Amino acid sequence: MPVSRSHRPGRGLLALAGVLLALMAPPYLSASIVVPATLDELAGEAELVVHARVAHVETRQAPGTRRVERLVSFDVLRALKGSPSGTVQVVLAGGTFGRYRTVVPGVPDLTQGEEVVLFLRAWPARGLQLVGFTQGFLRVRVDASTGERVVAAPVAAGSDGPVVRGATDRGPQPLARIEARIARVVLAQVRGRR
Amino acid sequence: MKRAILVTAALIALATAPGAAYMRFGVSINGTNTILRWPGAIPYRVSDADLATGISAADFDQALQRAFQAWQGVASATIQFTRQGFTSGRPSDDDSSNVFGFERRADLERTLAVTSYTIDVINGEIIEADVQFNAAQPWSVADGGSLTGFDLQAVAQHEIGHVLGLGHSAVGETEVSGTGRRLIASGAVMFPIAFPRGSLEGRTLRSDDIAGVSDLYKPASGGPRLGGLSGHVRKNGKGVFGAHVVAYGLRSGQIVGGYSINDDGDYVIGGLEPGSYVVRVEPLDDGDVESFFEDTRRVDADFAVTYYAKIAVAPRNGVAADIDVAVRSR
Repeated sequence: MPVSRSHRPGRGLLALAGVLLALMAPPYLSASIVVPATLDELAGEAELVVHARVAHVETRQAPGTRRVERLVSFDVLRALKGSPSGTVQVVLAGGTFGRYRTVVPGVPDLTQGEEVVLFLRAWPARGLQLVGFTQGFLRVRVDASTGERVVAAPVAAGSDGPVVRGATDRGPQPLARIEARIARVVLAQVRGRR
Repeated sequence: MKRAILVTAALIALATAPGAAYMRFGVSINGTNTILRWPGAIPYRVSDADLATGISAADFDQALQRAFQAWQGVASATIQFTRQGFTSGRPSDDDSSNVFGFERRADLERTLAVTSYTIDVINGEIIEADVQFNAAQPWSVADGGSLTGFDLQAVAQHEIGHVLGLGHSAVGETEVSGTGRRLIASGAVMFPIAFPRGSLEGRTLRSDDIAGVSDLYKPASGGPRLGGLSGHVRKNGKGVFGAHVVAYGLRSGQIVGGYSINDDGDYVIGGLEPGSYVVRVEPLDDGDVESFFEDTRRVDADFAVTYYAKIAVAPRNGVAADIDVAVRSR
């Protein structure tokens, strides 16, 4: 490989501080460490799996503290596992309320109208929680070129070996394909209990 | 004392902070993008209010101290933690203290630990930064590791990296085996997926961790004169948000990652030893994108792995510009 002249020391250098870098502070990155789950494990461990739309986000302070949390209401568009009512609610840590901002990196930002796939379990005193921290949250997007709903899906079980970034079988998957995979896991689980 | 902590923990506006900003926590303070960085010693307390099975308060304290020492030992950075003893408070308490402690959170399935901050968005003060270790998970403090639990020091090192202001690194590789997935190699303690039980790999800071913290906490004087690379990732002529850009040092052996973090596809990788690098751009398509970015709506993970066509050179005490990579859809 040739050495790029423009990248030799002394040429094309930028000052380390300045306007460019001031524009480059990312929104927070993330801060949890997890045991990874495959799509099949998420589907198997969840009590409820729903394709849903964000109906309302109420930002508030946790009782008696300055910590900020969000009560997010989702309209269920389709139940993929379990029998939820028409709306499910999940409390997500983090948000800005007045002068306080609580950052729990990794917890997703949500706005009204967004579609998601949620893998949920109910816990006494805490209500519904995402399975595997943010692993149980998949954002649904509309492919601009096809109009198809797609999901950046977790790795699926069944193909032993390294997970290779950029491989042709990675990338956004059609929502319908993900739903079909979840349905297979749920069906196998039901059959296994019989 | 509390007041002193608040003042000490003020966020530093990026405009006044040296260095690049690719793997740091950023927050908006009064409408200005700022990065999270502690200007002085970071005080912390160790909670003994709750503990995990088989872990004593002394075990916990010692594992934490080893983890703090690992970060403080980075020669190219100036980092100082100040231990303020045990507390009966919990990480989840709103007490204006930085508390490391266990809490039993069975509902946080598959989650070993979480770091959180409460920030005053008017004056930029970090009111507190807390680390919650999940007592519902199995833990080990055995010197040689144990298959019965996750290594506490390794996980503590990861979370301390977050307290310092580092986000997640994507320098790591996983594999699917049977119905599960596991981490097989990681170039960073800050990779968001834990090594399996019994592994001690997470106790060793890697070049990516060291580059990040060296970039963030440069010594005021006398430190090594490090370099960096910067450029754009573009697809069809437009910037790509959320691409993972990795620099492989040909001589140094460093593997350091960064991200394109705006709609122009800008990226900067700082903290590099001066020298030659191969630059690879890859999509974050192998897992939980939420663990890397707060707003993942714009993340583009639909492109093929692409290399910069030349050898890039990180200069001493500067950042090479225009290391631009054009990627294509798969």
